[in-house]
Amino acid sequence: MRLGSRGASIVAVIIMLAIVTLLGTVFVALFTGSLERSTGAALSARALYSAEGGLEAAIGHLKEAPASLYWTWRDGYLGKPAGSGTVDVEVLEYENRDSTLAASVKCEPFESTITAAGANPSRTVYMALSWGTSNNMGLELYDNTIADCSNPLASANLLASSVTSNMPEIIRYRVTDAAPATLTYTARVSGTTGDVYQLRISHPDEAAFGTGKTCGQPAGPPFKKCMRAVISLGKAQNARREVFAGFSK
Amino acid sequence: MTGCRLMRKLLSALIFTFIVFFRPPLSEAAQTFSLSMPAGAEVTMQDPEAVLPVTVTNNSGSTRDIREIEFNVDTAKYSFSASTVPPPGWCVTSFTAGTIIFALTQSSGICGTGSTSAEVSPGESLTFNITALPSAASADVAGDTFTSVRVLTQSNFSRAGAMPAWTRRSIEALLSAAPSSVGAGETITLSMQATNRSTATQTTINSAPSPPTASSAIVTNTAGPFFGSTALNGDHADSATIINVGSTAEFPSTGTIRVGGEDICYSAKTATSFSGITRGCNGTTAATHVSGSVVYGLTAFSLLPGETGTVFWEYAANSSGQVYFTARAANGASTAKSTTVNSNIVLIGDFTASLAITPVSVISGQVITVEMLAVNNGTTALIDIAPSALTPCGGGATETFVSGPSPASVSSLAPKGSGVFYWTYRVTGSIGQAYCLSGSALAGGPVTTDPVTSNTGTISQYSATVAPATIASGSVNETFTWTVFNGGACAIKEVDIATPASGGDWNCSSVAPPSGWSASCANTVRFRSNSSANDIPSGGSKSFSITFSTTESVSSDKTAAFPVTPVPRTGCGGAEGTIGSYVTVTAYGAALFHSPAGPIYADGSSAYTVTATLTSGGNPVSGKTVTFSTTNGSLSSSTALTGVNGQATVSLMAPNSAVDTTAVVTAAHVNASASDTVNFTGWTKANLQYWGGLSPAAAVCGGSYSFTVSVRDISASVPMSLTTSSYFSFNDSSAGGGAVYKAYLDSPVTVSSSSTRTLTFGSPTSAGGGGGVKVSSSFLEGTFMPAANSTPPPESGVFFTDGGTNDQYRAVTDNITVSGDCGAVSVIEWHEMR
Repeated sequence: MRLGSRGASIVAVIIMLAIVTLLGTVFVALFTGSLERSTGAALSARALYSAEGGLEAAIGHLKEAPASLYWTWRDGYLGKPAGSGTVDVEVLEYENRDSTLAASVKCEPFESTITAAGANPSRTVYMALSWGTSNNMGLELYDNTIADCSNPLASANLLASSVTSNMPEIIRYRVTDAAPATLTYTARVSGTTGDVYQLRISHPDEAAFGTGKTCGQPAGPPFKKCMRAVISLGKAQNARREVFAGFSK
Repeated sequence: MTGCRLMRKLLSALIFTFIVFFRPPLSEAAQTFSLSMPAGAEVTMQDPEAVLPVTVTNNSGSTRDIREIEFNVDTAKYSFSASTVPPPGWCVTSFTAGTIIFALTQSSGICGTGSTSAEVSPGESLTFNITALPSAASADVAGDTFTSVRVLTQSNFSRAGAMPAWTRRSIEALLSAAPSSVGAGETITLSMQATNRSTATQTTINSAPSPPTASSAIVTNTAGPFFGSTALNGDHADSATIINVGSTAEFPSTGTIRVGGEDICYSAKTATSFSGITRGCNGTTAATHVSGSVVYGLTAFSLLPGETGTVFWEYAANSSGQVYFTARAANGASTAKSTTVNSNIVLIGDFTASLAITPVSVISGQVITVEMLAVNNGTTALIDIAPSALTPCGGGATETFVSGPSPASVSSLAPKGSGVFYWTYRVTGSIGQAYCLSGSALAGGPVTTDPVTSNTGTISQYSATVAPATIASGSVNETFTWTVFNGGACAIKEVDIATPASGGDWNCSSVAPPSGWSASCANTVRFRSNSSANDIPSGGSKSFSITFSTTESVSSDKTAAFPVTPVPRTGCGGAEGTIGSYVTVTAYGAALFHSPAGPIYADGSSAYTVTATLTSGGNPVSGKTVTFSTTNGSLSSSTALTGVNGQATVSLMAPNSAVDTTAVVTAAHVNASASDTVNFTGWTKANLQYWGGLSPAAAVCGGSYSFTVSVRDISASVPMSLTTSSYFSFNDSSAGGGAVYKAYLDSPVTVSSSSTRTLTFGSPTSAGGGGGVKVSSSFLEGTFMPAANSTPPPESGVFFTDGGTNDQYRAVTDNITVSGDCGAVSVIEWHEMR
C-alpha cells in the first residue's frame, strides 16, 4: 500500500512534469510565432515608409525649377537609402485616357522611349482600367499600333491582358527591348458600347514629353505629354512594399 | 717795325689762305643722322596694318637739314605699304615694295626737297610711321631691320650708330573682356583669340603670362585657361552618359571639358557630342546642367598656319573701378608669340557709364557723335536716368555742342539693363589737335556714376570713313562706301582708292562716283571730278562707292587695306596725303533679327526680342559672347551667350517718345557684327511709368500678398483715372512653370500728369477692396521680373486701365523672388501596388 502510494506520486509528478513541459513548449511556440509575425510587420512597415519616402523624394526632385530640367527627369533611383531601408524609383509618363466606348472595343496607342541612362531607367508599362457600369470590361496590351481595333492580332502581338470579373483591370508589363529604342504600344479596351471608363496609362516617356502645366490634348495622336507617375519600391531586409503615384503640375 | 707788321700780315694771309683752301670741308664731314625705335618694337606677320615707328634724328653736329630720306627693306621679309601716312609736312615721293622715299610737302602742294618748316634741322628728330606688310616665317624672328637708310637731301649725310631692330611675331592676338560693365561680385570673362600667322604649326597655345595681367587688383582670376567653348544642347542630368553640344570642332578628339564646376573627361567625340565620358573627373562632382550652359575645353590646342583658337579665363570683380588685361599669346615652347595686347576696359560698379566718340579722325569743322552707355549692375531698378552735361577734356581742339542728349532721359533701367544717350558736337582746331569729352550719368535717388572720359580723336588734313568696315568671309556683291572729308585749304579734285592688289579675290564690278565725278574699276580706282565746281571744297565731304562681285574667303579674321589718297586741285598749294582705311573680313558671320515685326509703341515698356545668329562657314557657333548695343531704348543685357543654334537673345525695351522713332541695334562678336533697325510708334496718351518702390520684393509661395508700386505719369498734359480693373501680375514661365500671380487695384486712383503716386494691388477681383491675393503653391521658386505683356496670357507687368481711353501695359523693372515649398503638384492617383 505504501509502495503503491509512492508509485502513484511518482506517476503524478511525471504527469505534472509532462504537462508543464508541454505547456512550456506551447508557450515558446506561441511566443516565437508572434515575435516572427510582429518582426515581419515592422519590416514591412519600414519598407512602406521607404517606398513613400522615395516617392516624396522623386516628386520633390521633379517639381524643382527649371521645369525643363527637372520635370523631364527620368533617371530614377536604385538602392537609394530611405529611412532604415532603401528604395528603387522608376519615373514614368502618366496619361489619362478616360473615355466612352463608341463600339465594343477601343484602341489607345502610346509611345515609349527606352534609354540606358540613369540610375533606374524606366521600363514599366502600368495600366489600370475602371468603370462605373455593371458591365464587365477588359484590358489588353499590344506591341504596336493597331489598324483595326476589332482585329488587333492582324497588326500587333498581344503582350498582356487582364480580362477578369474584377475591377479594376490592371496590367503591369516590363519592357525588355534593348535601349535605346522608341516603341509604340496600344492599350485595347473591351466592353459594351456606351460604357464610360477611366484608363490610366503609365509608361516610359514618349519622345515629345513636355513640361506644360495643363495636360490638354496635344495635336496629332491622342498622346498626353506632361503628367508624371512614380513607382517606388521600398525594401527593408526581406520586406518589400511598393507604392504608385500619378500627378500633374 | 714796318717789316714786322708786313711779316705779320703775310703770316695772317698765309694762315687765312691755308684755312680757306686746306681746311677739311666741315659741312661734308659733320652731317650725321641717327635712327631709333621704341625698345621692344615688334610687328605681327601678315599684318597689313603693321607700322615701323622709326625716329630719325639729325644729330646736333650737323649743319644741314634733312629734307628727303629713303628707307630700304629686304622684300623677302617686308613689303612697304601705300597706306603709309607720312609725318605732317612730309609726303611720299617714291614708293615700291622695298623702298619708300619721304620728302617735304612744298607750298605748291607737290612733293619736293625745297626747304620748309617741316624739315629736320640739326638737333631735331622726327618719327616716320612706315606701314609695311611683314612676311611669315616659321617662328618669331628677332633683329629685323632696314637694309639701308639714306638721307638724299641735303647731301652728304651719313648714318651714325646702329640700325634700329625689331621683332617679327608669329601669332596675332586679340583680348576681349565681357561684359564691359559688371557689378562687384560678378564674373568677367576674358577671351584671347589667337591666330597663327606663321608658316608652321604652333602647339600648346596659351597666354604669357597666364592668366593675363590685370591692370588693377580689383579683380582676381578664378578660373582658366579654358581652350575653346561651345554650349550644351539640352538639359543634362548628373548621370548623362553622352554630352550633347552645339559643336565639338574646337575640342580635341580626347580630353576634358568643364561645365559649371564639373569636369567631364571624354575619350571620343562626334561633331556634336562627347562620349566615353567620366562624369565628375579630376575630383569634381557630377551635377545637372541646363541647356545652353557654356562648355569649356581644358585641353590645350594647336594651331595650323592661318588657324584661329580662343583661350578663356574668368575673373571675379571684387570692387568698383576700372580694369583691363594685358598678355601675349604664345606657344608652349615660347618660340612663337604675339605682340603684347591689351583688352578693352571693364567698368565695375553698381551704376556705370562709358563715353565713346566717333569718328576719331576728323577735319576741322566736322561733326562727331558722342555716345554714353549707362548700365545698371545693381539688384534693383534705377529710375529716371539722365546724363550730365558734357565737358571738353582739354585736347586742344574746340568741341562745340550741336545737339543732344537723345533721349533726354530713360524712365527706368532694370537690373542688368543698359540705356544709351547721344550727342553731336562740332570739332574745330588745327591739324594734330585732339578732342574728347567727359561726363557722368545720374539716376533718381540720386545715384551718380563715376565721371568718365571718352576716347580721343585727332584733327587731320583729310579723313575718310568706310562702311561697312566689316564683312563676312566670302561675301559677294558687297558695296563699300568711303566718305572723304577735306580739311585742307584746297579743293580735292581726285580721290584714289587702292583695292587689295593680291592675295585675295576682290573683283571690282562697278563704281559709284558722286555727281559730277567719274571713275572706272581698276586696281586703284581713281575718282576724278569733272570740273572744279564739283570738287570737294575745303571743309566739305563726298562719298565714293565701289562694289565687289567677290571678296575674300578666310578661315580666320583678316584685314584688307584700302589706302585713300585725296589729290588737291593743282595751283592751290594743297598737298596729297594718303589715309589708311581698312576692312575686316571675318571668319564669323553675324545676322540680327527682331520680333515682333513692329512697330511697337515708344512707351518705355513695349519690347522687341532681338536675336543675333553667329555662324562660321554657315554653321552655328555656340558658347560665344555676343555684345549688343542700341542707338535708342534700353537693353535687358549688353551681352548674351550663343546657344547650340548659334543664337543669342536680348530684349530691347522701347524708349519714351511722343513721335515715331527708330533704333539701330548692333550685335558684335570679335570682329563680326550685324545691325538691325526697329521702329517705334509715338505714344501720345497718358504715360504711366514704373517709378520704383516695388514692395514686397520677396514672396513665399502659398502666401497671400498685396503689392505696392510707385508710378509716374510722364505725360505733361494727360492724367489717367485708374479703375480697379487695373492689375499687377507676374508669372513663372521663365522657369518653365505655368503659374500666374494677378492682383487688381485696391481702389480707383487718379494719377495727374507729371506726378507720382503709390498704388496698391491686392484685390482678388476687379471689384477692388484689397485683402491680398495668394501666390500659388504651384509657383516655381525663382526670381521673376514683371515685364510687360500686352498680349496675355500669361499676364505680366501692370495693366493700367481707365476704361479704355488710355489703357496701357507697363513693365515693372524690379524683381520678385519667390521661395518656399513651391511647385506643388496635383496628385491624381496614389496607392500601394499589390
